[in-house]
Amino acid sequence: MTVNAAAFDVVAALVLAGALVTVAAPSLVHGTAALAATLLGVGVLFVVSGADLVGAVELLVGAVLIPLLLLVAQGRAGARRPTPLASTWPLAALVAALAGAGIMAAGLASRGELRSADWPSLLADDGAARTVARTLLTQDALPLAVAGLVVLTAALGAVALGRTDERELELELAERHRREREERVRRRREDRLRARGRSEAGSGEDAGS
Amino acid sequence: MSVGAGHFVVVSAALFGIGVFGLLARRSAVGSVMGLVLMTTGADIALVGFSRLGYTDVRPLSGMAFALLAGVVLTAQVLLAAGLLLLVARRGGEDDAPHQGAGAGPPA
Repeated sequence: MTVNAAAFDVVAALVLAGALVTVAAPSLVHGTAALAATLLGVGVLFVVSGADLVGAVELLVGAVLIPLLLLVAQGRAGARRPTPLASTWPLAALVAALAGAGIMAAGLASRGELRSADWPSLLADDGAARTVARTLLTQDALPLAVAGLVVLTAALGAVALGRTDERELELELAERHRREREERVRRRREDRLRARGRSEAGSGEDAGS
Repeated sequence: MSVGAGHFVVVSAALFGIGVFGLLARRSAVGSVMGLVLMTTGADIALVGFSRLGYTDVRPLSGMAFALLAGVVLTAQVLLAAGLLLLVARRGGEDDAPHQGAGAGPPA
């Protein structure tokens, strides 16, 4: 099985364009939308490359779940204002270019060790998804279990971090009452000062007449 | 013409580099998390590509299995980042409260 080079190139170009928009868009909402499109493209890239299962997971998790989580976090954190790039972005671009070029050079230098041959009969018979699933459930069962434990712990931690407990609600309520009381006192004082000013002005006029 | 290892390497390294740029250049925490997501996705592309082209008969496509596990870890990372962002936003709101009330003058 060979990968269609034209399809790969088109999807890869779209993915890279989406990634550039993700990091350069001033609005975080637009950046998140571009991230969703980028991860969608990566899922398609995986499917084009014959990695059906990884592509399906990327489509579900990358293109739906992660942008959704980021949007929720932005909405609750009030981060909908446009945020320009940091003033040190040229340095960041230099570091990024060096990192990308280094990885590219290392990968291209070692690609000769890869052999390109037909897929083994196991893959041809069962397909990539079934083979990967079998690998995960037999040889890589322990890493799969540990990964499940990690994501479960992360989900519980996120819930624990994100929830508002009773004591916190009571504190917020007390704070709101304190502010309302201060506002009432401030208005009463202003009214008193205004009334005193009026009475002093009235007595001044009486004295003048 | 078929796709070789060079295609996967170029795309994954470019995506990783763009992610590094996003991580370093964005001011907001959400933008930095997006950069981290792009970096991990770049690594996933390399895993899938090398697994696709450099498979072995003993452990076929273990790179793809590893890419799946990396996706799980990425999900955990984003989950925790979202929780931390919510926490920081709430703490920031509490910290701002005394400053908002400070202009009102002392209570009588």
